[in-house]
Amino acid sequence: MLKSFRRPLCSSSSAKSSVDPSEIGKFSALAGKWWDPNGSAAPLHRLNPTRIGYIRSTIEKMVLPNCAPAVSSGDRNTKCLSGIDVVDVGCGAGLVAEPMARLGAKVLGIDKSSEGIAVARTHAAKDPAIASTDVLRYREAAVEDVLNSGENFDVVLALEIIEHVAEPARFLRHCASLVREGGVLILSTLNRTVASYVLGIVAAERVLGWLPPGTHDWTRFPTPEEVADVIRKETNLVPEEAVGVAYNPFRGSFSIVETTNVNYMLTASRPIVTARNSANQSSLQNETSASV
Amino acid sequence: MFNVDLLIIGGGLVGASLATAVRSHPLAKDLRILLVDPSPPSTQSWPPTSLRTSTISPSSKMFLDDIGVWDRIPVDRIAVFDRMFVWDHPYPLPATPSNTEVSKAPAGTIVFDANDIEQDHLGYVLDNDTLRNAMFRRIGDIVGGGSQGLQVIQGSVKTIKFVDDESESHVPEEEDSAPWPVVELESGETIQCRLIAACDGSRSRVRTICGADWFQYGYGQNAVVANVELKDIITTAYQRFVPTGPVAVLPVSTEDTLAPVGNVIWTTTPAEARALMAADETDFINELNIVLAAHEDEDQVFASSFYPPESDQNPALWRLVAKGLQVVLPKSAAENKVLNFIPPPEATRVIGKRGQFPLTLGHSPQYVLRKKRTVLVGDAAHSVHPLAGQGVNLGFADAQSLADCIASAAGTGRDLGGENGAPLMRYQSERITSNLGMIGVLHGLQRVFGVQNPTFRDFRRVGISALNFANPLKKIILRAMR
Repeated sequence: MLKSFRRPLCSSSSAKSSVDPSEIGKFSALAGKWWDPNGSAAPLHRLNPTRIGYIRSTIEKMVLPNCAPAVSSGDRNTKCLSGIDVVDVGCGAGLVAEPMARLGAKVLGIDKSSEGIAVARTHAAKDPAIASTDVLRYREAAVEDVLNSGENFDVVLALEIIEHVAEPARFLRHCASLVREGGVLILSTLNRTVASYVLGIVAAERVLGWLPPGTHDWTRFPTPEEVADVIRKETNLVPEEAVGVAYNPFRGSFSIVETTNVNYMLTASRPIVTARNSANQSSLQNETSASV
Repeated sequence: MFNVDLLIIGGGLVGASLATAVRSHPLAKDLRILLVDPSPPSTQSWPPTSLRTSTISPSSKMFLDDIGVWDRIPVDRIAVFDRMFVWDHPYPLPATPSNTEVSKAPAGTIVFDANDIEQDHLGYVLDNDTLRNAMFRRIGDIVGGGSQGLQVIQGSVKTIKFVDDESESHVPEEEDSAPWPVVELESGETIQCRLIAACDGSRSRVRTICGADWFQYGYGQNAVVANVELKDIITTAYQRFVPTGPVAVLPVSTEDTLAPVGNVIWTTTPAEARALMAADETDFINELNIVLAAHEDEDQVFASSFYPPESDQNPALWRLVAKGLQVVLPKSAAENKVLNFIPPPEATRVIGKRGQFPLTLGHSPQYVLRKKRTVLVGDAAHSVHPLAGQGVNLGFADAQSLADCIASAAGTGRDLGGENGAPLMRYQSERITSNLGMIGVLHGLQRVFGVQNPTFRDFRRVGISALNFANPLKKIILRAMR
C-alpha cells in the first residue's frame, strides 16, 4: 500500500532550480513568528537543542579530526567549532544558523524567502557575539546560487527542507557538491511511513495544532533509503548513518533514538582523496557505524 | 568595557559555587564568565573561623565534591553530625499516674538519625568564611590553570542599563530576546553581558534594579550567633523551640580552642537579642544553659525574664483532643523506640565575639526575568528561616540546577537569557517547586512552634511526638533536607 504513495526522487538533469515557489510562500507568511518559542515554529524550538547537539557531535567526530591542529586548539577566543565553515540551506529565520555561529562556526545562511532572511538578519544583529558578518552571513539565495559562486564548506546543513523542494535528487546533488573533502552533509526530514503520517501530519497539524495544516505533504517525505541511494549513486559522498529524532510527550522534548520511522537525521561524508590524508580517510570509513 | 556571556554578581557561597560549577562543566568551557564581588577573599592564608556557619547536607557535599571545592577545605574545620534532635519547650512531661511510661519518651521531641536514611552522616557544619575561601581557592586554580574563560573582579553594581535606546522604557513584549544589558559598577567599569546571575543575597541590589516582585514576611525576630565551648563533644545538631523562637547548637570544628565547640544560633525577639548581645559572657552562658535545659517547672524563668506573658485561653475541646491523642499515639511507639531524648549540651565559655542578624522570609515568584536577561539565584530568589540550616543547601541546589541548564544551553549554542527565557525555564520550574516546599516546611515549623497558647502547645507536643514515631514522614522531611 505504501508503494502507491511512492514518489520517486526526481533525477532530471535540467538546469532549473530545485526550489518550489509555492512552498516558499507558505513559510514567508509565518516568518515574523519564527523566533517566538511559543509561536508557529514552537516544535522547531523544541527540536532545536536536539538537532544542534547531534550536529555538534557529528562535526566533532567526523570533521574536526580532519582539520588542521591550529583550528582545534587555538587562543582564548577559540570555541568548539572554531574554523569550521557551515552553510545552512533553507535557514529560515536562522534558528539553526545562530546557534552554530555561537558555537564558533563561520556560518552562511541561505533561504529563498526574503522575509525569512530579513527576520534572520534583524534577529542576529541583536546578539553582539554573532552580529558580525565575519561570523554569520545571510543571503537570499538557492543552493544553486551558492554552487555557482564557487564557495564550499566543511558542513552543509539541509534541515527540514528536502520535503519542500521541487526536485529532491537534484537538491541533494547540489548540496553534496558544496561539501569539501573531509566534510559532511547533514540532512533532516520526515520518513514516509504510517507512523510519520499519524504523528507528523495527523497529530502535529490536525490534532495538536503544532503546525499550520498543509505545512507538510506526506507524499513528499523521502525514506532514509531513498536519500542514501541518491547520495551513493549520484554524488561523491558516502552515507554514514541515519538516526531517529523522537518526541517524548512526558518530558516535552525530543531526543535521538534508533528508529528512523518518523523524524530522522542523515549524515553523509565526503572522503579525503589526497594521498597525504589517506590514513584519515580509511580510519573515518572504519568508524562508520549504522550505515544506511 | 567587559563583554561576557555570564556575569555573576555576588561572590558569596552561592555565586562562587555557581561560577565554579559552570566552569567545571565540559559543555560550558567556551563561555566567558565574570564574577563580581565587593570583597573577594584573599586566598594567601586561611581566614579565622567565622561565627556564621552552614549546615551542609549530604547532597550539597556531593555537589561541592563534584565541582572540586570539598577537598580544598581543611579537614580539621569540618564538623560532622549524625543525629538531629529537635525538642519542644518545656520538657519532659510532668510525671503523673496516667503517663509514667510516657515520661521516658517525653512528648514534643523528634530525633532524626542518619541511619533513618541509610547515610553515614546527616550533615556537616563548617563556617562560611572557610567554605568561601575554599571556593575562591578552587576558582584561583581554574584561573591560574590557564582557563581564560573565568575572571574575578572586585566591585559593586551601581546601575544596569537594559535597553539600547534611552527613549524606550522596556523591551517590547513581542521580542523573544532583550538586548544585552550593560552593568555599571561603582568604579565606573562597565560590563555588557548575555546573562546576569544575581547572587547578591536576600537584599539583592540586582533584583531591586530589575524591579522584580519580592514577597517578604518579616519574622520580627533576630538571630544571635556565638561560638561556645562545650563540656562534652557533640555529634548531634540540637534545636530547641522555646517561646521566643528556636535555639540551635551545632557542632563546629575550630582551631581556637582544644575544647569541644558548639555554634549557637539563637533566634529570638529583637529586644532579647539586644539583651543577649549586651550581656556579659557569664550571663550569656547561664542564659544559654537555662534555655537549653529548663524544665516545665522552670517556666517562670522564661516568663520572668524577657518574655511576654502568655495568653491564657483554654478551649476545653482542644485540650480534650490533645490529651486523647497523647494517650493513643506515642505510647505504643515509645516502647520500641530506645532513643527519644538526647541530653542537651552544656556550654562553659563564650569564644570570641557574638553577632546578630535579622530574619526574614522572602520569595520571588519568578527566578528567570526574561525581559532583563537576569536570573535570580540563592537568597536573591528566596530567603528562608535558618531553621535546620537549610538556606545554603537550597542555594547550592539552585547553583547546581542553573549550572546544568547553562551548560546544556551553551553546549547547543542557545542564547542564555534570550529565547524568551526558554533555556533557563527548567531551572525555574525545578527550583521554585523545591524551594517553596522547603520554605513551607520551615515556615510551617516556625509557625507551629511559635504559637504559645498552652493548649495548642499540648496539641503540638503530641503532634511532634507522633511525627517522631512516624518514620515514613520523618524520612520525607529528611530527604527534602538532603
